[in-house]
Amino acid sequence: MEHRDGLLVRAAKMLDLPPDVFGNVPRMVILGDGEFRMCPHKGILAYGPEEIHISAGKLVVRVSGENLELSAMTPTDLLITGTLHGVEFVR
Amino acid sequence: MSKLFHLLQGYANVEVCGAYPEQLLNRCAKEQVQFWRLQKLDGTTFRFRVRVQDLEKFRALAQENMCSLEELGFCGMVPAVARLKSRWGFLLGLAFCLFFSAWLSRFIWVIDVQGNDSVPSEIILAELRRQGVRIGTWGPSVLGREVSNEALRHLPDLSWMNIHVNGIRALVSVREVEEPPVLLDEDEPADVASLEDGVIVSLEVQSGRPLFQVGDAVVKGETVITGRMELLEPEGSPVDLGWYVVRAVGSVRAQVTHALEETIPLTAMEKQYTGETARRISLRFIQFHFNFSENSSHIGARYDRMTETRMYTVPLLRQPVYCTTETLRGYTLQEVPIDQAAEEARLQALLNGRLQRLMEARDGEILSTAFRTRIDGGCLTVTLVADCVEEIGCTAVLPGETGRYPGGQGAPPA
Repeated sequence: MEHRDGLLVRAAKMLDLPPDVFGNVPRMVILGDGEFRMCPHKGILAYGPEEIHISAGKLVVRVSGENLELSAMTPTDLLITGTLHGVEFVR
Repeated sequence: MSKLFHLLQGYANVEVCGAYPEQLLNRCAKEQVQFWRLQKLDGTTFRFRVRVQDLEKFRALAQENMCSLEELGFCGMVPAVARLKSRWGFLLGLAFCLFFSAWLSRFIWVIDVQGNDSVPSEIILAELRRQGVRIGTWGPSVLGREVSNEALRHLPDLSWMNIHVNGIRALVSVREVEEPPVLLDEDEPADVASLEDGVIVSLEVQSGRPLFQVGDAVVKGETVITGRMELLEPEGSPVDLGWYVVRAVGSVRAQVTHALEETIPLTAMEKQYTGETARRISLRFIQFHFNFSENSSHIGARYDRMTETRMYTVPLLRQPVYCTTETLRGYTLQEVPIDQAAEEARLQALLNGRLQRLMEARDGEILSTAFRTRIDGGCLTVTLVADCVEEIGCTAVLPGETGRYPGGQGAPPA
């Protein structure tokens, strides 16, 4: 499946299309410093009011901030609210 | 809004403890189990809220993920209703109240009348009572159009009526009959005479000939505008043109001094209750009267009588039974002096009211007022002297008919 995703991402790049059109690449939206959305995700790895680790397949997204709260979570989407300080990708 | 939905659906506060509680969150998201207000208490314990309807599924997920689950409490409407299941008495009372509220709201409890000015609301309500629309009437049974038509037949001063029943309120909208305007009889000759003594401040003549000018003084009853006009022939002419008689119409405003007076005696008769009371009870059924009287012979010649009649409906009898209670309270009259200051103020207010009504009737305005009080012959007399400007012209009908009276026949009748 990962091989197939890689192929689709490469194909999207060749066709000058955004990779999330074909591949399973997570799209992250940050609204100001108070809201973080991610779609799709692979689940939460660690949860705390100052740091939340989210699995995005090949990489881990580390959201840091204050009073972070997992406001909504569905199998594909995820919403974190609070005061965001940074978003870091860990491979 | 989401808070409201959560409250309506009901939710449970749960606390999960496990080696890896994040895995439980991921499973919850995958199985569409909603959770919110997530708090991390320590490295292995989470506290959050889940919907009541998802609780069974959540328990199973927690067990699968080897997390211990503690339910801290339930909130919202669904758990509250579930708690009430065992309290059947309360539920029965609630259902009873709801049913009675719904049932009683179909009756008319308020009747509002609008649109009436000269016809009192009480007369309209009394007629509606006769037609069966009263407080306590079953609302759906009121046939607005039929009742309105029947009520209008008995209320000649109303031209239109509509009854709109909305819940417990019946709104009765009415329109009153407009009085037809008074038509002047142009064929009736008349003068305009003065109603009061005064000095003319404005004189407007529509027909007729003025006999006074602005600034002249007139006496009550004097003709100000005459309807009998002598047609003057050219100087030196032997022809007598005669008279022309019309209905004189005009406005005469004058400055008038009014002196209104009220007098009352310095003593008044006051009731002194003797403490003697008696009661008479009587029952009336069709033409039969039954009197049950206490001894009332000790009551003197003067007494207050208070009568109260109640109607009772007896089962199986078609006619009602009337119970009348008469209470008699004896008193004597005693002459007491009046409170002069209070009575003087009352008379002043009374005179002011009289003056206001007079000014309204004559379209006048008050320039100045002064009160004079005197005690004379055992009486208190208050006099109001007021300078006013008002309409003093009134129509004084003349005999005969309007038109021209040829010369040689003398003056027309006055």
